[in-house]
Amino acid sequence: MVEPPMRMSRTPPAIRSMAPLLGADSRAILAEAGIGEADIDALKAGGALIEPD
Amino acid sequence: MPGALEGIKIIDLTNVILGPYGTMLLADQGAEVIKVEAPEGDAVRHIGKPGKTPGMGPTYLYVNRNKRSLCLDLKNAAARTALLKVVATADAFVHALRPQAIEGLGLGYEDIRKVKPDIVYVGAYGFSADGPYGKLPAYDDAIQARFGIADLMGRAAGDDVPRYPPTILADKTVGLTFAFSTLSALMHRQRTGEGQFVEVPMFETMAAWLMVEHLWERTFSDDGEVGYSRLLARTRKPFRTLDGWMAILPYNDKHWRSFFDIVGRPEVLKDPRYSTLNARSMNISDMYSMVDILTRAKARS
Repeated sequence: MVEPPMRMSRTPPAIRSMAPLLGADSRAILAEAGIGEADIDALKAGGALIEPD
Repeated sequence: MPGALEGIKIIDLTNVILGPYGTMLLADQGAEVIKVEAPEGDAVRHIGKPGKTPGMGPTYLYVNRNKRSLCLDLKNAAARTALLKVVATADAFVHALRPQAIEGLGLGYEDIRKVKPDIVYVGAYGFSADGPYGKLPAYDDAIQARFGIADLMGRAAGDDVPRYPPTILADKTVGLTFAFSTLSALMHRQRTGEGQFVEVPMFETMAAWLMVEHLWERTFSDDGEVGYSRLLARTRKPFRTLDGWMAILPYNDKHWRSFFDIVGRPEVLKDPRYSTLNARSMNISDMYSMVDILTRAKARS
């Protein structure tokens, strides 16, 4: 991987995290949007939401 | 230190390279990019040999750094409802599906505006929705074949056999356009509170890009020559010297005077065909031929 080439003195661009596994943040993102745990579990049980094993 | 786009949240339904490269540029600057993937995942996960983890191929790793992954089956109504709740917290929604495909998922501009009226909504399409190719799908090679580069490559090689340059020129160039168009709309939104619909079509973007220098004499009349002669000169190439290849690019008067002084042929520039910048530009193939011939017997140093 190649670093962002530009230099910015106050707000430097950077590689802060690696690319995510499929669905790595599924649960956290829905929870942050106010979706309850029971609804998230129901989506997962129905196969409509995927998280890494 | 935080990036310049810290606090900007982008819901990203794009996959392959174009959209992911565009949102990578925004994520590198600190934007929160939520990559929404279907259960089978972005196909680029499976291109090339992964290091250790299956589904984490080299190009996937490159363009999806700094992102979060939300994996949903959007054909499921409850999953779509969940996505719309996430969209309601976002600043931008970007996708690269065909117009009819995104409408089919119920995620067109009007659908998204209902849950987030000031959204910046960006669609990267193969072809402008209103244009003659509007409903066709597109991949990089299909765009390269149409926008003129494949033809110019054959003209430059001298055999008129069309060919592709060995890079995904259209995906990456349109990815850049996609990123700055999104950013422009976000700046307008920050100043006025207004969201908007943004279309970034690959073919039209690449045609506009290529024509910067290649529109050439067609600038002045419909039957004018297309193609900047200097770039199509078969004599424009790295030049062979006694001890290796060398890039030599005399461009202005001073450069050419220095060049012909060094090779001991200063009289060439007295010839009216070569004496001015404009005259040389009309005879550029001759100029490069002379460079080629005069440098073969010289060492690079």
